[in-house]
Amino acid sequence: MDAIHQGAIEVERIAILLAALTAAAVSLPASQDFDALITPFVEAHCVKCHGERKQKGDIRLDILDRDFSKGENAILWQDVSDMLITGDMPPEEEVRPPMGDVSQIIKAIDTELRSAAASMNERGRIALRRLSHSALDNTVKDLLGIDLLLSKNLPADPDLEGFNSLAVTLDANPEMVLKLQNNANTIAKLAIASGEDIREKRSYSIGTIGHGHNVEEGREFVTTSSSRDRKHTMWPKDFFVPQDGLYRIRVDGFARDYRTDLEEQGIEYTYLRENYEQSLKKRDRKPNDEPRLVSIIAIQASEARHMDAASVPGRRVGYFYIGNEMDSQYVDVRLNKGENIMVHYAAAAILNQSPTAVVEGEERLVADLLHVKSITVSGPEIETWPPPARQQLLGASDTVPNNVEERIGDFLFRAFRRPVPKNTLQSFNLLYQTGLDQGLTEQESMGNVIEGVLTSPRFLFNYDKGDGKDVWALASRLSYFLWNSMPDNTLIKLAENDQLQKPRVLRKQTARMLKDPKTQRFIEDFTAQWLGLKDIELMRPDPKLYEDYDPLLESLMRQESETFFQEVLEKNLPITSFLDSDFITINERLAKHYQIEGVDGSEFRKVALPKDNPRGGLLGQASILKITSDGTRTSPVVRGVWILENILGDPPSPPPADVMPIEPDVRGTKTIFDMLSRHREIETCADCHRSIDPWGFGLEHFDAIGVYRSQYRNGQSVYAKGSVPNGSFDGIADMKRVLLNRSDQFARALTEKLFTYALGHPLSFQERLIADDIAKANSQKGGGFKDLIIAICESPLFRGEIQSTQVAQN
Amino acid sequence: MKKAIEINRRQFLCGTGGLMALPFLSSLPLSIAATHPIAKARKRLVCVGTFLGMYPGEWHPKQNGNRKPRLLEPLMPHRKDFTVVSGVDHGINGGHKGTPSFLSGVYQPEYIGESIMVRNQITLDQLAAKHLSRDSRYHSLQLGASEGKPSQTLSWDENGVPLLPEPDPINVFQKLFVNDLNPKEASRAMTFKRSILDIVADDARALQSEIGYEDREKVDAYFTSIRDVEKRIERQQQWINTPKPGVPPLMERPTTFHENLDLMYELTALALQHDSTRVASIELPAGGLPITLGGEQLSGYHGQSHHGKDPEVVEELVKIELMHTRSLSKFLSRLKEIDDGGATLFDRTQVLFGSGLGNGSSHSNRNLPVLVAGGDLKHSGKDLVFEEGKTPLANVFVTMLQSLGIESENFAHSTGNINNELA
Repeated sequence: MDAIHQGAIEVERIAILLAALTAAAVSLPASQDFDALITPFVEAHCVKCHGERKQKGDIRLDILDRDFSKGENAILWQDVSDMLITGDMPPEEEVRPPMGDVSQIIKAIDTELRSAAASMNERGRIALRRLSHSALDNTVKDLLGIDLLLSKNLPADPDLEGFNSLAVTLDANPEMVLKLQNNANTIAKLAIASGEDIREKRSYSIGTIGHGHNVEEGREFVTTSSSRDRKHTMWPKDFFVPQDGLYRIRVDGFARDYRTDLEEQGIEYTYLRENYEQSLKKRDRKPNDEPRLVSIIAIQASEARHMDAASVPGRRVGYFYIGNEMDSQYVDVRLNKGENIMVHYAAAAILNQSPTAVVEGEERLVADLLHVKSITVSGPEIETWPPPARQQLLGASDTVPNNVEERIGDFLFRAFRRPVPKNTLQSFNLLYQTGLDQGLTEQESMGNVIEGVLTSPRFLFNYDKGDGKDVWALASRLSYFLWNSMPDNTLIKLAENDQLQKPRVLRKQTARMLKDPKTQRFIEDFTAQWLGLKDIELMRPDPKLYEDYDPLLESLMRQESETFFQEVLEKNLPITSFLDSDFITINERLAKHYQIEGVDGSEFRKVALPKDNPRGGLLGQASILKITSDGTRTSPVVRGVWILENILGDPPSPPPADVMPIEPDVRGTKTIFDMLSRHREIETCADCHRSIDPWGFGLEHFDAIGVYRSQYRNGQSVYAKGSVPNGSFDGIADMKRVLLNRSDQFARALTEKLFTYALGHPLSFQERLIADDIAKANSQKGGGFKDLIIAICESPLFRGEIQSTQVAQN
Repeated sequence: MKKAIEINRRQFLCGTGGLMALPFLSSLPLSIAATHPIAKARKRLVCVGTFLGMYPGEWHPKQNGNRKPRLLEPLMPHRKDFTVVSGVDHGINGGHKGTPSFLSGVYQPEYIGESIMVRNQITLDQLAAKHLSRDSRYHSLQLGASEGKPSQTLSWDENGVPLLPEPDPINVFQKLFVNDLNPKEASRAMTFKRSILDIVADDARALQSEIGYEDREKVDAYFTSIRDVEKRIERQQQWINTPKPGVPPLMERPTTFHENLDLMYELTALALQHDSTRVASIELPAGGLPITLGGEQLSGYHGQSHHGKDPEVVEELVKIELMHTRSLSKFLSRLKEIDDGGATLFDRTQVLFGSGLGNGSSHSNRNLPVLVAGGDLKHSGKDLVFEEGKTPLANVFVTMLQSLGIESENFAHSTGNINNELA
């Protein structure tokens, strides 16, 4: 418990003063009153499991210290209150305390918490926080106008509560600094470059498209069959990537099954190899209206040639589906200097030899085929040429401007996001001068300055002076919250004029910022962490079990959740939409995955759901159902934990160290319900699993990639029943009703997650009180999601204001 | 583009022995070589870890009566030179999350408020490198059979930071064997890098006075890191004029998991032979490059590890893991071929193979697969079976460290050593 303390209290201490007015209106119960109230209640309803004899969940309540001024006690009492509010405790099989008693206790704990929070007169603070990986990359893009990753190969930061952007986990270590400087060096060189524009657009077609020996050249198209080896690949001849960066690969062409076309036209074909007919027939033939996946693979430029190798080298960097009529598709991919790309088709049967057949006297490929008319590569992505930073620091022309010092000053101010101390300015100017003195060109020397800026602690860290007046810190906090990047000029101006901390200004700015496309970065970053979408690539489903699964579908799943989040945010829909909604945001491929008719095209759009369709809300989304499975089968335990952590804000404690995991045994006809029987039968398991497993069972109608099922593979019916303290359910629709009854709990959970993300630390009990009040007030005003975010941004807690921070008394 | 001489990869793999005609010690800088008599044998360590464990039913001796475990069969030519240690683990849980504790012995949950953050600690290879690699060009190598996720990482440094393995053999090759085209220019660039770091470090100092005392620790960690990086650049700079050992160029990347693994083993052997480093770790992650057997691609390695006791799936898993031990066996043979001034490289290299996952199907981190080979360790051709839960794997590590000449009485949660059995 001591460890809890040192972390929580020191890092996140926040002083909360009580407004005299509110305080006067409510009479605070003396601690004796609290004792008198709580002791008999604990005796009657809690000590059986949390007393001297047993301490289930390591909780003992009869001797739990009632001195709320100690943070660790306050946190524990807050947990007790949570349990009572949700009805999770006392457990169902015990005698229910009279409702009046429960609400009295909840109120008493709340009062104690609030008066403790009010009396803790310490200085509140928001800890210094290093930029997360995604924040580093976004900031480079906004500062320098080039799209190179400063976070490339940096060691991953540890996770805390699913977040990888919290102050305490964002460390600096030699491994990180070493790689950071190397990346900064590469970035600086490009950012300060001049001379000939390196951005290019090159198109390749018949004659300039290189390919393996099994690829056929026609008059207009280069054609290949589906395969897993490089004899069937094609590439732009002699292209090599001049510079690390983001490139757009466009392919004009189409893919369809030639056999189907021939058969429909009544044209005969005979394979040169007799056994081909048979082996091709064995595989399912794709109808021509189904999407076909094309992958883009990055290889060393020297590897772009024919080879008799059984597999394809390189990194899979991008995918798209191509249509069955002339189509033009593109994907943006990150490539390294010296690479080339390969276009690879593996959408249908995997063939080792070319499926060559005689058609009307001619030898042709007859199978599921990709026809490519052209491949176009453009990039690297750079806003302007010379790059913006070059123009700002040394001007666009070859003549060096005479106010370099001033330009460096402006650059540092933007990069460091606050006024720059004189000494710092001097050292960077000195760095520039020294470079020149030692024979570097202006461009090289300025490159060193940029490298130094990107490696500087002033660039890497956001910090708040903690005096309640650090308006620069506020500007950065706001922009890293809503854009995951540096403040723009408007915010900087408002900070300079000391305006930003005014609630009215903040409210207006938040609304403005949420309309900016940069909000997309918040959506991606926050959902990656809150929903765990960052892990969607882990545990790829077993292709034998899930033939329809492909890597592009995986990223579309993620996009669905992001688009849904964006829709709720933009339209200011009630946050309960996350629990259930009468619409979803999908495209054609996902519609197929969900067996929904009438959605054509790759763009995402809002689709109204039929009444009893199970897809509404987050829990019907394939992304969530996929990340909570292990790639082979579903696990009600993992899904239950996910719901408790992310929807209900009530993460279960980790399994005790001495419990051995259950080894699954799929021989015989056991269902997952049977396999988890130990969770119900053994008391030590049941204590926790009774609150975990039911939520997961409610999702059993969705398989490991989120497809609806009513039977398991072995033919047994899906078991989707669950029972929780305030209801029981059978299936997802039922369970969503139970969750909607807990929408207050969800509102608190989501608000706490948003605050955690915005402030950069797990909330202390005082901060939770404030967050919960905001959640409550928002729910009363209709629960609009945009409203909630605005309320967070204008809250004293977010503003870092101390004197006026207050906890309302109930 | 510059045209390099191109050779077939397989030629590269089998033909290197003959082409390495460099005199012994030629890759050491003169100053260091002079103080390093040949008599003082250089000790090395190679740690290999699979992320998904090894199927216990075909790994542990005597699990199936007296039948030999199939996974060890490819290693039989080396029977007298390795020892399987059974019944040892780190006493932790966590499944895949606990697996990176394989070489650290620690899966350390840290409480922050009510939340738990798991941090790792320094791994066996990194600790050994601190002592063994003082005089070599590189501190250590981290290689991967395929691209891995940070959460699967095998090697962690003293700050609990994952050291991501390099899965691309061309990059490894460049690092080990390709000289800077212009050493003078490279050295100058490093000097600038150091002066940039100097300014940044000074500024970190200055920043300390502008922030609250609670925040100073983070900035201080940053300051220390900068100083550490300056030292690393200095080390690189000292080596810049020493030519790297010349070996035939590597043009082509392998396209399958095990071809890539074999090439990583080969590069490791070369790196050790030429004393580019004395410590390497090789990670076999859960996926990435395709796994093929006889031209047939095996699907979903991770899926197989969740066999659910289905005999067909178990069989596929064993097939994949047999390829792991076959590659290992080839590596051991390779080390035995290389002369290291009076002994074979194998005699001077401890090889540890194993996993932090005891059973992929149940996600258990107990009774880990552990095999040690080579070095000065005492192998008798018999395997060691400890009673489960009684002997920490860290005790094995203590014996390994001592045998490498590193004075250490303990490692992580060790309770002693197994010198009696293995040293």
